[in-house]
Amino acid sequence: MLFRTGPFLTRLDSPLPRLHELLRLLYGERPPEDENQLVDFHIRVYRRRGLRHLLRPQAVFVTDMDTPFYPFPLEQAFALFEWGLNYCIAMQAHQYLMLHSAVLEKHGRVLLLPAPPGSGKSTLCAALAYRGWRLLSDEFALLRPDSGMIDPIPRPIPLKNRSIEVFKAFEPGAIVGPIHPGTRKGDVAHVHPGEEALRRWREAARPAWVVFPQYDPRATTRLHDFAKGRAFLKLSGNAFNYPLQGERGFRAVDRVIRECSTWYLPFRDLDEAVATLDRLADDTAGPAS
Amino acid sequence: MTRWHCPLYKRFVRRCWNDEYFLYNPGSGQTHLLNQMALDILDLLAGEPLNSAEIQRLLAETWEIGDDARHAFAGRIEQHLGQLRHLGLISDGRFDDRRLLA
Repeated sequence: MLFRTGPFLTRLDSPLPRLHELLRLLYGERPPEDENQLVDFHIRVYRRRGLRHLLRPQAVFVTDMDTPFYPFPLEQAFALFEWGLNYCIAMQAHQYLMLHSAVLEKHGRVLLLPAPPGSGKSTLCAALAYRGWRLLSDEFALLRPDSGMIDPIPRPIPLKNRSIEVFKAFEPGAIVGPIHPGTRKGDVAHVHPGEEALRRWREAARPAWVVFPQYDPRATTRLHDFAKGRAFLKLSGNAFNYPLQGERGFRAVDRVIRECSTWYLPFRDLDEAVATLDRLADDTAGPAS
Repeated sequence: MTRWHCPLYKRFVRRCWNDEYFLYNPGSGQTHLLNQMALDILDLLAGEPLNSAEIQRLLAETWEIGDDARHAFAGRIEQHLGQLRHLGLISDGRFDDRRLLA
């Protein structure tokens, strides 16, 4: 099957019914893609054969004859596909400067949430996506270096461990996939990115705010000014392909830093964090360019 | 005496935010965070090559360093020159990196 995720077209070859079932649940039903298009990624996910694997069934991910991961337990095939797709994008999509950041849009302007694992970035991203922000991505800010626009790549948001229950309590009506227990990143469940995000996948937008979030149960939820120089270092240092982009990458990050306000957001509660970011967007709303 | 120069100076891309200077060196593909002294040294070496004594004298005038602090100031400049060379931002002429521009 041909499978579109934002600007990328994937040819997915998999006989695993559970994988297709979760794709339908978490990406929604898709219109069929025209077969006469160039395909970005060729991916196979299949059950490993052999006697040993009758006892412990495993799924294998292959792309362009490359097997970048050890096999996963068969029931984690969807998580394997998602990580594999991340791998394909990070290794090949060098037409973009790829920042490691969640990306959401409100009033036609983009909020970047760059943060390391454990900061609460994905949980906050999921919360915003269900409170009126349009999700562009939880993982990749696909920044066009020449125009400074960010292309959407709406995909399910992976939540880990305790954040799964935190989010389910925050938004009981959200579509959340099954928990994949004991993956290499702990327990993982994926949140549907939202119908609007999927429908508007062609609509790029320009960054306006860079916010570095940090979950801290003892913190007062409040935006703090964040020095632009430090923001430059953190953004460029966490980009997937900054060294490869050369001067173009330097200028692209410079543009983001110049055009955005930069903030640090410690937060102890999702509702407070969402309200704080809503105020930021509403207070600085103006005509999007 | 070693004569320092900065053959890629015109190709550097520089930005400043809140007194922090960022410089992209297209020769190495690396981005550097520099302080004011490092930047002043690069600016001095944009033209003709200079030796350490000349750099010390010119910078001491710019920075209005008194005679009593000249010795320590010279030490800092030597340290900066070594670091800038290590980063590939200046050359002591032993390897002429102007060839990189060809």
